[in-house]
Amino acid sequence: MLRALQRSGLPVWRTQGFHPHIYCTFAHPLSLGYTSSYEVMELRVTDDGLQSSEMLARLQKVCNQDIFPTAAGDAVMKINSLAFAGYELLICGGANALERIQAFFDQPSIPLERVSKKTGRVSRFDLKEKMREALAVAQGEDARIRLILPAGPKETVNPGLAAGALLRFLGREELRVQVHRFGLYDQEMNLFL
Amino acid sequence: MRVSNQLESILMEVQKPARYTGGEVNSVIKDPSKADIRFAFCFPDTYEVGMSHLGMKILYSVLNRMEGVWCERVFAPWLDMQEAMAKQSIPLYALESKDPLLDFDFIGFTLQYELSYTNVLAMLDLAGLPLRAADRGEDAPVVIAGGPCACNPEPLADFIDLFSLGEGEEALPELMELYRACQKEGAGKREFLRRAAQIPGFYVPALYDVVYQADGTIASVTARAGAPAPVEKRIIRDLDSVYYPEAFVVPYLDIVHDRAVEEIFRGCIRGCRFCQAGYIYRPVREKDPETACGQARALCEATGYDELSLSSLSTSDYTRLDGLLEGLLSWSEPEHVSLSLPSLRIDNFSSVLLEKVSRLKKSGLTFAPEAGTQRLRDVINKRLTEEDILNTCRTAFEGGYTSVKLYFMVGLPTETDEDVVGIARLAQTIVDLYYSLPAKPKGKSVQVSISVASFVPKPFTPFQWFPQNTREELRRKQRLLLDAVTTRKVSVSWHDADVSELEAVFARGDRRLGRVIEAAYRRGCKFDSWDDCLDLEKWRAAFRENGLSMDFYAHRPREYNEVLPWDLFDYKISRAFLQRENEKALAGETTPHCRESCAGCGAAAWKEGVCVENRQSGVSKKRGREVYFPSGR
Ligand code: SF4
Repeated sequence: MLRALQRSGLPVWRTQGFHPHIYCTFAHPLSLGYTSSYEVMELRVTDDGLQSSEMLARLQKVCNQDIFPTAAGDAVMKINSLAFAGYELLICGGANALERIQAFFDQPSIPLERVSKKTGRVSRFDLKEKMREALAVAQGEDARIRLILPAGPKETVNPGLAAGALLRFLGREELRVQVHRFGLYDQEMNLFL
Repeated sequence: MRVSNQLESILMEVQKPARYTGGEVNSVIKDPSKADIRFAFCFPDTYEVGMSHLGMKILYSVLNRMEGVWCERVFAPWLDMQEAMAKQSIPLYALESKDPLLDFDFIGFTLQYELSYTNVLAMLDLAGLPLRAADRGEDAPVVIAGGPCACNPEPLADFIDLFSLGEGEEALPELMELYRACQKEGAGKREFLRRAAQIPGFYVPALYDVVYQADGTIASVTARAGAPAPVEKRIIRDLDSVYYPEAFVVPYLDIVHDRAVEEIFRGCIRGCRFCQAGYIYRPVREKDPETACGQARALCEATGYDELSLSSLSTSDYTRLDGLLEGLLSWSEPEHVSLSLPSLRIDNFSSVLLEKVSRLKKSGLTFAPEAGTQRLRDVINKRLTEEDILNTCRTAFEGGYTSVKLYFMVGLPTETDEDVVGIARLAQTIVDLYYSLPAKPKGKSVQVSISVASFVPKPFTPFQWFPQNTREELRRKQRLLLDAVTTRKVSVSWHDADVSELEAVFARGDRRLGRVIEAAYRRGCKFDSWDDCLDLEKWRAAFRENGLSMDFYAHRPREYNEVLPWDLFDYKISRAFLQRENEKALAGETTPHCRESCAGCGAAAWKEGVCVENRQSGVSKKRGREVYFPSGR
């Protein structure tokens, strides 16, 4: 993305110092292997008169179809107000286990473990307390689950952890899971803008 | 099932999946129905290494500019991916189309280092092709290889249909046209290869018979079916008019050299006697500063890179560096592009420019004295004096630098223990110099890093007849050097002696080594240039199995009159010249560089570049342009 910004020639603000570089932040970067409906990127421009529409057009011109800017506008929320993300987990070939899937999410508590990337320390938490919503429906042979999980500077729960626990619960660890993020929200579940 | 569908299921299981997905900005997608020639350009190492390679970027663009030719990229999948692909029966595929290599007309390898040879075999195997050229049918893709190691391609002769010698920008399009003509006529692969051998710069090993003597040396090489002997390399005569990529593929993951690169000249004037690149790319041919400047700017605009590196064997020897830098800085600064100038001797240009450059990118201070004493530096024709090094260090220390990196080699011809200890002594002298300077950076200590490689004798160098030191001898010298370093301010790092030994074997190897490479590959050798993958025991077993010895290739002195495997290839570096240089080395005599006087190496036969520059007036005879001579030497 930095290369695309450089190609666009937009008047983007750069950090000062010995090796100045373009300032640009992604709101909650997606984990490897997941897809998303959209990503949110924040940057600063040095020209206040620059219209969002022009900015979008210039960026679109230098991007390829795989990473394509869809909208631009003034930042409404601060990145640190991010609190939740909405995911769709597609359990390939899981339609016949729909009831069991719902039973997994209906348990009074779902104890999980996570390992800190930085310290390697293992901590335990209850998924049930963290998640907002879990709804499973059948789609052909697959099961599709909507799940809202914490995602922000305060706390993040990787949907992969939930998926792993679910497959273990089903005793179907061979099933393939596709994770798609469809939205980012603040604490009040307002769409992140 | 299509490869792209199968891939989805394994990408999450492997490290760095972006190595295998393609789709990068500036990658070339064509309509396969309109491409009558499909070329799979293979780099026999990982994506990160291969994507950093300039030659591949150039040839990728050159081929894709041709109507009807679609060139795609292929890199060696890392071991985890090879395993995953095997499990799912996914054949090796090209990144752009995800089509299996078997669907291609050409499979082309670039041979940058000898230790990638088993990866060439691995890639053929993953593609589902028989390894040996003789076992592949008329319908199988043509397997071609080029790059610096193709100057002695004999160890791979059994596996490759066709080698490209020298620079490929003009030769490869000619080959594509020939292929097209053969397709039209209905001429098969065998006939295509017979005709390809007639194009200068192409070598078809199957058209030559090699006979060996009882002692294992070569008795004779005979050409068949009208194939030429010797086979001439190709060069680009005019770097200003030859195509240079307007865009590089911009990777999604970090690669080894992730920046825009502008090539400013080919060849080297210096003639260091151990350095193969210094001979096989002769003569020196420069690009005009305006051409280089324009190309570099276009490249930065097309890629979005904010770092530009100049590429050549020795940036300081570019005759119009001041003008080039001024041109580059005029746009790079406002456009926030930083310049990096590798292989630069900072004693050579004006302090104003030095200041400008160092303001933009403060790279480390590096020298390559290569040997620890003046005597040995004379032997290798490295005409860098201790005074040069100390003077530059003084300027740099006074300008705020606190670390220096020095590159050396051990095992050089005529080397004594005194030369080895001399490396530590030189490092200590630099440390002492730092502390003697009143204007040194305040409160900081100095760090001198020494990086030591083992000397590998290479074809087409004056040292091609010398034996390599044995591993035991190299290890003894390592210990000797380490014992001679008495301060923490000097750190020493080593290249692995095992790697160097194998390199020495294959650099000067003959065709019989094909059996060994295949046996080693079958035993599991891959990614041999990666320290944690190299398994010398397996290699030893492969040699034993085939009745050959590493000593014969690496540690045996050659007589001047021995027929060498690469004698068949004409790189316009005469044997008489190399022998003369070898004798001068033994006598400790140096040879001036090409801009001081011509040493008559043979490259003048091209009537190009430095060979036709007028040394007195500084004006190139050919194009009548001004030539600036760097001061100092
Ligand atoms: S012929 Fe002379 S000038 Fe030309 S490359 Fe050889 S030594 Fe240098």
